[in-house]
Amino acid sequence: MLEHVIIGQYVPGKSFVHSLDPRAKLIAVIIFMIFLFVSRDPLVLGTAAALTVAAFLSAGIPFRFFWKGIRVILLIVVFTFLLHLFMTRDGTVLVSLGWLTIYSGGVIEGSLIATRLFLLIVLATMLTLTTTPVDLTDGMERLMHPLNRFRVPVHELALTMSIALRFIPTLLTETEKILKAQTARGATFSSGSIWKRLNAFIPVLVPLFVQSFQRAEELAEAMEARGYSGGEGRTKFRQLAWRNRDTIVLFVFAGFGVWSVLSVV
Amino acid sequence: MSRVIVENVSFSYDGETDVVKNVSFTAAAGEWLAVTGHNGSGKSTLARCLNGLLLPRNGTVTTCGFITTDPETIMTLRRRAGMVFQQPDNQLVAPTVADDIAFGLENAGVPYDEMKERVEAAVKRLGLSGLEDREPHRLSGGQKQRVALAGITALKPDVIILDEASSMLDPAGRSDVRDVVRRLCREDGITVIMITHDLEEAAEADRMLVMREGQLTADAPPAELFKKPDLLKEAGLVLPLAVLMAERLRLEGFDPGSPTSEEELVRALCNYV
Ligand SMILES: Nc1ncnc2c1ncn2[C@@H]1O[C@H](COP(=O)(O)OP(=O)(O)O)[C@@H](O)[C@H]1O
Ligand SMILES: [Mg+2]
Repeated sequence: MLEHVIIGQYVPGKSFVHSLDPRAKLIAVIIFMIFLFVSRDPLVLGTAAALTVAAFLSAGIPFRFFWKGIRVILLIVVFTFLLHLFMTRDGTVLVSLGWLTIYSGGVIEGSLIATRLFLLIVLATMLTLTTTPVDLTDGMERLMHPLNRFRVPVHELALTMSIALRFIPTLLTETEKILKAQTARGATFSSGSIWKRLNAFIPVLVPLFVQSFQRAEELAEAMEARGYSGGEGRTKFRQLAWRNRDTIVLFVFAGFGVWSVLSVV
Repeated sequence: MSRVIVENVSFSYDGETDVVKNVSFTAAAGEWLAVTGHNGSGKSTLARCLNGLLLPRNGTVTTCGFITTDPETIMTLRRRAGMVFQQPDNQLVAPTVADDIAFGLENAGVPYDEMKERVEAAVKRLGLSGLEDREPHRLSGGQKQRVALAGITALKPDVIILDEASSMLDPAGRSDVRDVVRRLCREDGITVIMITHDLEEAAEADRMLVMREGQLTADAPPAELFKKPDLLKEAGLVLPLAVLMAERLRLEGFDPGSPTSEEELVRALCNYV
């Protein structure tokens, strides 16, 4: 089931969206997220939908792949819709079946929230599908750089994140190895009650933890040996290049934000 | 002047028992030293004293002209004396090969343009072309160790310390790493301190140090030490098969010369026939 959740998965490509600076993409998604929830104007919502469709089309992600990945998340959208549908007590009564009453306000509110959520999820997914986790981390680090002044350990957080990303595949391989080793010793992971199955994972998790601590210690030593002493005075090998297209994209999204506010005032 | 000067160094983890006991030796520019010894004889501990990861309880270590106890110069020292560890996986920090090679340069604050050039040069030197964007987990063990070496070479070091860097590798990976180390030492004049318990690997060094229970029991060219099997046996070391074989042949009245690897032995025997 996990392989179908595509949020956080990167699809290599050379599309327009792929080529954007991760900072531009991050800011665009943040602007979108904030101002999508400001206005109830259908025209604003329509524009948001148009932006999302444009992003999707220019990202060149295969529709089948995308659809397969987003299906699971759509459940959340549907659930939110139903919640609002049943819980809102506004407007005229549309349906009344025993204890169940649906108001017109519920339909409007539910559709509104569901649409917003859906658009946001699609756009955010476009971000992660077209940006490598490394670039994403890098973009976040640079955007959050000013927070250094307020003693937020931005560099350390970004480094932690990038080391985590680096070691996820290693840990997965290791988990697989331990699973096999325990299976060879007669452990079963696919039969018995849920309680039994969960219990079977303890002998997997314990060695995994122990090895991870060992790893962390060795990694820290290696970093020290390579002259790491914190973020101060460090230069960066990864360079981000801000181009005109990034500015244009930001202007488009900023324009959307302004319009969204104006439609309310 | 010697690039590494170890003077009467003792080290203890618990403050009671010394695991390195009064060790002294030096390594000159461009010299290749093999440090051998049984498991637990204190080789790794000694290695970590050389770049100040551990500080001696007694005595001093001076590497590349810097004493390891000076916190002001320790970072410069570590840039000039790189270290490759045993576990290939646990020393690569960055998500791609190129990023990892750049890690030390980033720490040193090297400007971007120079960093780019140096990374490219290191990639070429270590035969990693085409792997720049590869993630570490998709590399073989030998490739990982070469990436680690590339990260060090990019810093233009004077000394490279390898702590059993090829013990986790398959034969191909081992010979890969050894070829690279040979070039760095013989062509670039980098001082190599190679920790190993494989005497066939040690045979190529200029000098071989033998550690036993924290003490340095020998410091001589490998060929000389191979003539003292008792000393090596006491230290828990096994002579290379080729050396043992040549010895037996000599006893039988043949003269195979002094081969240290199976290849050399085969060549000697072929010549003989
Ligand atoms: N981090 C540590 N803490 C305490 N004791 C250690 C530590 N590392 C090594 N030792 C002990 O120090 C001795 C020498 O170990 P080490 O230098 O790793 O030997 P070698 O590398 O030759 O196998 C061993 O007895 C080992 O148990
Ligand atoms: Mg060791």
